[in-house]
Amino acid sequence: MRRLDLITLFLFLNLFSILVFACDDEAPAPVCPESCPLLETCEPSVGRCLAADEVEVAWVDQRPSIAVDEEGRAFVSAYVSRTEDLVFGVYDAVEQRFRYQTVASHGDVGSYNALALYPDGRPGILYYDASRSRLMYTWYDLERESWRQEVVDDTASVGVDLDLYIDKEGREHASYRDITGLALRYAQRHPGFWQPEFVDTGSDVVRQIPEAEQCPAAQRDAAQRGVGYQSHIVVQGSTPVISYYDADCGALRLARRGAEGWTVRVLAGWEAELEGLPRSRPRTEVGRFNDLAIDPLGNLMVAFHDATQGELKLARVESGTGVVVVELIDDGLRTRDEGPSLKKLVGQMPALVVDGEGTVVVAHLDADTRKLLFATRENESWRSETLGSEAPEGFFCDAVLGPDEARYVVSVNVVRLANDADVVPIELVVLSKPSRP
Amino acid sequence: MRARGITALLGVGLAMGLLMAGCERVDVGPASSSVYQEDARPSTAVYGLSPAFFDSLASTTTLPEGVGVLSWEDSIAETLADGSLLQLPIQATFEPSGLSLSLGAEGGLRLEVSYRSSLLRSRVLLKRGSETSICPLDLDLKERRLELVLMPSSGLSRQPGWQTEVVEGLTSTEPVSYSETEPCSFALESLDWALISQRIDDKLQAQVSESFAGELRALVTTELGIPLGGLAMVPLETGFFAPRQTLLASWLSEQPPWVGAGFEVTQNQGLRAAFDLWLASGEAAGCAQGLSLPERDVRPVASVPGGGKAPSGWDYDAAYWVDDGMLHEIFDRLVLHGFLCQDQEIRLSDVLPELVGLRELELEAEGRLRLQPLSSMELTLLGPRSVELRIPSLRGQLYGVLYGAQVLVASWEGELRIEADVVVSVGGLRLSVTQSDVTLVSSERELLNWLELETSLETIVAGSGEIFLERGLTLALPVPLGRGFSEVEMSREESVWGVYLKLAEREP
Repeated sequence: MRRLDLITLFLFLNLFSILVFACDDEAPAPVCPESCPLLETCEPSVGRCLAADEVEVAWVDQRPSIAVDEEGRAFVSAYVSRTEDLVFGVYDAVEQRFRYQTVASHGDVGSYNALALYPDGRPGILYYDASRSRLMYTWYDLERESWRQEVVDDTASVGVDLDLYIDKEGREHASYRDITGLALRYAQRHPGFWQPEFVDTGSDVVRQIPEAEQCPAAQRDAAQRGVGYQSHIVVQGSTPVISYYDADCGALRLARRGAEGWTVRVLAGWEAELEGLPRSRPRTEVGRFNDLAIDPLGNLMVAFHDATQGELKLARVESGTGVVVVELIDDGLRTRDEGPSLKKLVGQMPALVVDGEGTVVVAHLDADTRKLLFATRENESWRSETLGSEAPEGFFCDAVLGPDEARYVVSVNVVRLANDADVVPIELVVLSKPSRP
Repeated sequence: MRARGITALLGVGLAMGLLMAGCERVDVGPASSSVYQEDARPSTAVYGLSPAFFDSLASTTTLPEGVGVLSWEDSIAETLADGSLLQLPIQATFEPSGLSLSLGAEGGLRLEVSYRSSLLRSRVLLKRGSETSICPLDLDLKERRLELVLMPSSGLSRQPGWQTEVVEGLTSTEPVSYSETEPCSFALESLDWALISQRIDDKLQAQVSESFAGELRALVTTELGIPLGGLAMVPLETGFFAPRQTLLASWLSEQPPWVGAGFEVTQNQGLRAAFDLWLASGEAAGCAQGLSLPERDVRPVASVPGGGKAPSGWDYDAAYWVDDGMLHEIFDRLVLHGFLCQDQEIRLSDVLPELVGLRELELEAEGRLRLQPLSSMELTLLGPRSVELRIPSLRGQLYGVLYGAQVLVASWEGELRIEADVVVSVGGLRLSVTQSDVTLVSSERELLNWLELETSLETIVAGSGEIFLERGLTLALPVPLGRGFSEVEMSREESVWGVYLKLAEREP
């Protein structure tokens, strides 16, 4: 062979070997990032960070609580009724499911629970210990890399209908119902201890609540159910504010902590001039299901179910003036192709989200279909609709605002528990920010 | 005097009203005049009292306590013919002792009021020049009689107008008599007692015109049970999803229903008053919104039967005639305002033990059954005391409670038909259900085994209809003389419904 031919052959073989080698070579194994997000560790076999996946969650038949961090990671806390444990879940976006770990299991714990995140992203969960009728708190300890528990309040049978709010300074605020005293309580966490206090005992004195809005003692004697149901808490500036239900008078109440103590207002439901004789079941049932949020202007927003009318409503308490404006979101009336409109029962279990532009989304239950409805305002009117085939089927739900102002909604369809499933996942739906008209 | 008159006066506020079970709060405030103008239906109802009624009434009417009492605390001062000055202070109260009410021969109502004699002690003062004499005496103000005729007035009055004509003023068969209680320094008989008697009568007569005539007009209207109020929907306390105390439709006395059209009293016909009905407008109840109601042909009641006989021949005392279109429009309003919506608590475990596939859901034992009208209500006369109410389209919804929230378990649509007897009751009429049927015409059940549950659902719906009628629907009527009714009969001639009533015997 000529020298040129040999060189050509050499180059050809080299090129061939390179090509062959390149084709036969496997893709480089994925490797975890240098550091994993909080609550996740590197799983070398798949080369990505994963949260613990210790528990197969079945029979979640209470309301889960959702939180989303700045990276858009969704977390839930939930109660598993079969094991009577409190679990914490981290959403795996790849597998599109939550990965759960048990965070409290001593006794029957977690049937009421609320999740919130500290500014640094650590989760904290307020929960009810049914075995000991007390209120507990668990949070993730970065140093110990484990969950820690502490008693919030065990001074009576307390701790149901609870909610948790962690403010920008990382202070924890809890609202919950006192079963013994038929009252609403609030507790704030200080270094090393929680300090509980009464918010509303139902005594309705003038210094706390305007006389016209008071629930008469005779009515409380007749009903004997008390206040503090379905409490939800936010901190407005530095002021804790709680929405809750007064079951004696069937009214939605709002409590605010001021320098002189707690003051209370009735947002809807109790109208003294319409009330007659005391009765065991109050004339109205307004606000037993409610949710509370603050809009960008600092106004308080309370979405609530008016069971008297089967409707979903929204109360806005204007910042500064305190003026309350109640508007109807969904009256449950649905037109049909033929015949008159039908009245449906809507508005139960509302979950309220308000974004940075004040856009409101309320997820609520359609009692006829047991699907979640999403109510949004279009121009001056409200529209409630499902998400079509992707619609979460309800029943319990919670919603929160995530980064990019997307709405994260979790729901549990308890109806499926009975019909076909041993395992019913907590479903997560992420709704993108609605476009403004 | 008896308290019955006062009771009757209070009863005017009730007048004729439809008291029906409801479920939706309807905010209808006190009717305004604009509402009256918008919804007035001229002469669509007629109220009648037969001559026989007046015959039985003639001598039995009494005045309520305090009505017709005349009083005088003043002094008669007269300059006598001889120039002397007479003063006679009188402090007396004249109480009526009887009232007679009858049909006048020339039309109108004739009222006779008698006043019992009154004895009082006084003193007569006689001043002659510088000499003054005082003489104590007893006066006997003799029994007096007052006769008036009330004629119905027509025109633009929104009250049942009466014009009062005093046929005979206060008259007495004898003048005032007197007797000395101590010896007098002058002769009492020398005084002009006829003039003194006339002064007393004049004073009392003025009071008759100023106040008593008005009281009598109101009393007569009340005693005769003439409707004074307007039909208005009182706000309902009841919500569709939380049953409460039902509220009622009723007359409001401050909102009269009529403008005095066709109001007459004659010896042959008795009393006839055609009046305008109006319906206060208000928001439709949530459960009935979107319900399109038929257009009703509402017409004035042009004529009513005479003769004072009910269709089956007995003498009636009071009667109502209402235009059919008007009656149906009232029912339409009631449907629209949610009075037919029903929301009742039921025990699921008792009523629906065969719930299929739902046991695992652990529905709470207490469920809710809700009925929602999808059409207007039809009313048909079946017999003298029997009517049929039909709701051609009614939706039923059965809700169970799951984890504290209500969820729909089943729903269906059907027709409800109820037969009921009209019976008299305290203060009016009510319907007593004799038969009810439910025809289920369509279903959109999701979770129930339909065939197994059909019978149960029919029972529930029929039962609910009966509750609605028997507890909720009462026709409250103004009761002449506050006596109540003992007998009732209904009729329908062309487009006019008649209700004939006999008064109950007066209790001893």
